[in-house]
Amino acid sequence: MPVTQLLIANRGEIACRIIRTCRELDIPTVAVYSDSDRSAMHVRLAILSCPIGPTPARESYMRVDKLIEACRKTGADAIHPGYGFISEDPEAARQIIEAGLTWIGPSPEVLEKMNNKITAREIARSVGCPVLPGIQEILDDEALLDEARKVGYPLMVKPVLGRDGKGMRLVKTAGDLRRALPRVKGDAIFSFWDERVYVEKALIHPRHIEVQIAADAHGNCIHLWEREGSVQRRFQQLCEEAPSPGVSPELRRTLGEMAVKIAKAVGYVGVGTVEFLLDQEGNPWFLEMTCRIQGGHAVTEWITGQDLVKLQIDIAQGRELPLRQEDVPMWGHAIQCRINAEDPDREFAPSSGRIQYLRSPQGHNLRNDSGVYFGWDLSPFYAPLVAKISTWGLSRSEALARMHSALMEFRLGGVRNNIAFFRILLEHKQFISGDLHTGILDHAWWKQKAVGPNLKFAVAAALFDELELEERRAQQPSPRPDCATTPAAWKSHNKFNRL
Amino acid sequence: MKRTLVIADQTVELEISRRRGKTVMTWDGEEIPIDIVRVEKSSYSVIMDGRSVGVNIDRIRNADPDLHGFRSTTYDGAYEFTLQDPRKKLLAEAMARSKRSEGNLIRALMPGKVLKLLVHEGETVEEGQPLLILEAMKMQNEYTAPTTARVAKVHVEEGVNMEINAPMISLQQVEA
Repeated sequence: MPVTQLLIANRGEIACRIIRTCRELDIPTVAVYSDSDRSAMHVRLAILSCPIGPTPARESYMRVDKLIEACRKTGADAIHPGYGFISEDPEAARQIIEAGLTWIGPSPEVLEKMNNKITAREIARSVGCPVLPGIQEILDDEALLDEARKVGYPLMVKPVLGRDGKGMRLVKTAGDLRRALPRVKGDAIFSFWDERVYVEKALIHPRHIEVQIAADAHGNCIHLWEREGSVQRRFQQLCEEAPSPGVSPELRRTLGEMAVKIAKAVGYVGVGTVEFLLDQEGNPWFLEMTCRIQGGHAVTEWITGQDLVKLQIDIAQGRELPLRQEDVPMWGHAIQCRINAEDPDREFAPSSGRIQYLRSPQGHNLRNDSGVYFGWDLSPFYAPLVAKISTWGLSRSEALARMHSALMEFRLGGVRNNIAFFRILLEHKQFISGDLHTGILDHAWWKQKAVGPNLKFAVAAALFDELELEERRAQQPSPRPDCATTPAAWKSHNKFNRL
Repeated sequence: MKRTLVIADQTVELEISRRRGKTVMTWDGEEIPIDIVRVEKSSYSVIMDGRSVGVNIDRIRNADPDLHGFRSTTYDGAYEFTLQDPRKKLLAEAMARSKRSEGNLIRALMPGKVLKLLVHEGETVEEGQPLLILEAMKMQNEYTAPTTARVAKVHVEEGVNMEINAPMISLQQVEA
């Protein structure tokens, strides 16, 4: 079915990014917004906009009935879910398709299979892809503890219907496992309405490698090389690069072939990612499949020259893939840093508040995907993503140097953020050498010293600001003495003075 | 104009003045001429001894209004410090004191809801023992005791929403 008008069931930078491709394709876009997102960037960029309810995502962006109603009102005939929210919800996809709309994503049947991590493991195993030892059956806690001993610690406990790293916990002993089970179940019910958990052998310091695939409805399926997403906190990626510095050409071919096999086995149509862990010997293990566009897709777009959102829309319209496997290029190297309003020195706790200052980096071979602007209030209700900065270079070191330069230029005020953290990461020997693993952020080696080389500059600006404030105050007429007679007046005067 | 700078455990006496159109900063007695202009609302361009650094400042509200909190950002990261009018009788040491006792106060690292309270006032807890569970960022976060200690005060109740940095549990060191 042709897509003549597209509703984007998302917000922030990914909504803006989808709108940009739609503009290129001359497809009118519909933004939806919750109460606190009326003046959000995606609403400003889209051609049509429709309110869908209160601020919490569950009452707005995740309400399929409201999304369908918004399509009716605005005349949109397709929904792009972006990532997060309803993007991997088979029930949402089903309802949207039943309403006669085009769903930009894989079919509900595929989503159902891949959402269930145990089924996904089975599918991977059936096409000969190595799967980590684990416990497939749903057992009560005592039986699970028994089985866990046989598999051997350390183990990873995960929700069966999990995704995005939510609820996952690493356990090193039986005591850990016993304590973790109720937590993981609690998280699983909260996020996925399902309390089933499963257990899988945990690798020590693995690399996280994901292979981008694209499959059309005509039986063609290609892969677009891999991304490395080993730099993670709370099992969520902070920094991605493509190609991975830890993947040899042979391994690249193997991973690509395995990813395509898995996608074909499940009848995948759309754009998706097959994720692997590499153990310390470099052996790949299937992790899961992500059935949507991913936050790190820009680095793949840099090295292949493809627009993955355009591919998604073309595939949903029943078009054939525009290129064959042997035509997929791999040019140079790309890296992306996710600039979040969070505090790396305080366990990456999210920060919210108004963006008081924003200077985005500019320059050669640099891309900035952002959904905020100067003066925008970052709400604690949504992910604290400010911008995704990516750079491209002929070589990895060139891409890294370009990113380093971009980070020096990027300035964000009003919220705590991880710009300085990324700058330090890019100067980190282990990172530069490409020897990455998912435990690279386990110890806070990047912690900033309170007193750096530019202290005098930092203080001089604040001191000057105080001076200007004092000078402005001195010019203001002093309050009339008769105002200060009552205690209330005295209080307000005092307050005024301290503004 | 005089200010006392407090950063980490360091204190510096500062003075800034304009003389015949030039700005001079005195840093612990040393006079440094600075060339400074406001380029945007909260952004300054500072040239000192030929070196040019852009600084953004955020004012951070402090519990004590006489302590002017700042977060200054330059290309190499953020500096957090306070400037204090030395005429006001609040001593920097008092700040340092309150900072030292911080270690015994468990604060909420993220905004969230107290899901479960696992200890009572007066109870002795061991290192690593879970104290409470805070639901934040759609995750259940367990807060554990940093050392063996006695629970001096519980500031929260189950089901209550916490702001970031809100005090939750005060601990008192027990002598071994």
